[in-house]
Amino acid sequence: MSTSVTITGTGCPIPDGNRAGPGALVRYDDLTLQFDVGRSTVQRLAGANVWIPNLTAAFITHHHSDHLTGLADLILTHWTMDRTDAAPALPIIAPAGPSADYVATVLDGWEADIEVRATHAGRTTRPELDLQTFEIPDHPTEIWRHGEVVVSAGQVRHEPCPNAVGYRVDTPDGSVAISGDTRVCDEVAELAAGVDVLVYEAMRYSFFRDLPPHRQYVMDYHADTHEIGAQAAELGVPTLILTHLIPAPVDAAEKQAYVDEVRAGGYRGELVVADDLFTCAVGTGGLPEVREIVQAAAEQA
Amino acid sequence: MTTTVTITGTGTPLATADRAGAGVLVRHGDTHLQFDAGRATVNRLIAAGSSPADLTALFLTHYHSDHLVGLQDVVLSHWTMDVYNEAEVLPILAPNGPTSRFCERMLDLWDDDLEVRALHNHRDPRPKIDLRGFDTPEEPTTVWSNAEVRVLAAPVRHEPIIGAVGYRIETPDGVVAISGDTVVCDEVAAFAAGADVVVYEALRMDVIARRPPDKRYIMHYHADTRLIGKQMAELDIPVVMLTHLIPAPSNDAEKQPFIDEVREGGYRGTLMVCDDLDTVTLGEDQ
Repeated sequence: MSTSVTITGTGCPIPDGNRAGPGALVRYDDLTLQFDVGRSTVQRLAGANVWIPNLTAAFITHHHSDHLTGLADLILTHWTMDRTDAAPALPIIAPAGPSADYVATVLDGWEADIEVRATHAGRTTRPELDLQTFEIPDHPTEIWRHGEVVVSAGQVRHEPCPNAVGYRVDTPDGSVAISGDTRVCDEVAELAAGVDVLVYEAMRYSFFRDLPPHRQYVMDYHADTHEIGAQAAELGVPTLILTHLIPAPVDAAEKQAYVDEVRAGGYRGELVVADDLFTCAVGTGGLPEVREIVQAAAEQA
Repeated sequence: MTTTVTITGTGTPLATADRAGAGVLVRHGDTHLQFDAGRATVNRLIAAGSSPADLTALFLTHYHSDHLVGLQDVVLSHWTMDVYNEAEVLPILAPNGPTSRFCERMLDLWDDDLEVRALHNHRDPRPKIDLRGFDTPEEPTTVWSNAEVRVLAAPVRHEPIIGAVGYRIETPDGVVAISGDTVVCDEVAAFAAGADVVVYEALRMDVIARRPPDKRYIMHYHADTRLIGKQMAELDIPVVMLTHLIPAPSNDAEKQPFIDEVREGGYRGTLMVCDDLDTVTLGEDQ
């Protein structure tokens, strides 16, 4: 078997021409697990060759809009593309609180669209919400399992945004942790201990210190590149992927600034300043072979 | 001064890697007008050199989700990007009915997000939008204007959707017509007459007619390539941009049948089977 992680979106709320909103896709065998669903996620999933009705589940880290604005599209498209009415509802797993509250209402407003499509196409199903919630655990805790694949949630520190979590996926090949939005903190260290790949949100505090005081508030709740480097070095993480990049780098020189700062923090492992659809293997199994869209399209033809 | 027409999304509900959801951006100087806001519209606005914060007004054609799923992101980004709190209110024009009702409710879901952001950055937590519903007119009718640009809405035929509209944009450089989703019909001819550019949704009947009978229903409410060619020839439109492409072509060979069929319909003008961000400019120094 093989396990991979693909960054479906490396952006943040401030839009960029090439960076979709936050999201990461973990694949193992036929399992496809999406973590957060920012702007343009559906398009990036197509770019990663995921046939949307085949998506296994989506997990939400917190309720900031940049992590959620693609969710209505994902649920609607999961249904629209499933012309055989065969796909089960897409499970959405979210921490109790504002994230789950948002998910519970995400289809509000789309009733007229759904009804006119369903009637016209003779569909026997409607998009349904399969919302599964969990209480924020004090320590990383299993919240979802399928066979040998376990997803754990751990609290992170994104105040004033409450109830934010990161996730960890363990498969027979290895482990990947996804920080969600957070400061560098002990909670992330606990979640990411022993992983093969750590997907970390990253902000260059050095950039924001030069901005006017009223722009500096984002430094309260994001992960500084230097501190990421120090923590990842202590953890001995083999591969570190930076995403949710603030400020968004537009060329190699601007990416290099991230690298330099993480290295200055002490990290010596494999380091990636990700662009959308960056993919790497998790653990020892190599990259999964993916022909999902081609196969699904052939089956539908 | 020039007027540009940029297709922000050439896709449909079916997800493809390179085609954003439905949308067209028309610019004349500082006037930036966005028509529909499908999937990934915000990414495409930035790539086109505009931005949610630069929009002067936003217009919706109908309430199908592929034309609306990017709207909340446009509105939230318009607010998020306004870090100095000096953005103008963004008018959103929509036909009354399900489309305007969607807009009325779309921000309710984001209360918690807006509140926590506002608390943190000391902002008014309400995005600055001004929803202006209009009754779908029977004839092309002005729904928005400023000193140089006028936008008319007109009915199109997208049943079972009721109240769908297309738009006609008049600037000092010329006239642009945007079909919205529709069959080829006299209603489109009424507002596309005399246009310099027509942005037309396009579907290849040859392909869809081969589907099993219960999968052909979309034939009944989209614009057939041959009929587009016939109508655009009759109207003598100089430039036709095809979008909302069904089936989505993934290379030039798959684009060619769109061209062939429109030509069979009789059209001889400039014809583009568009990719995202394809742009036509009117009023260049001539």
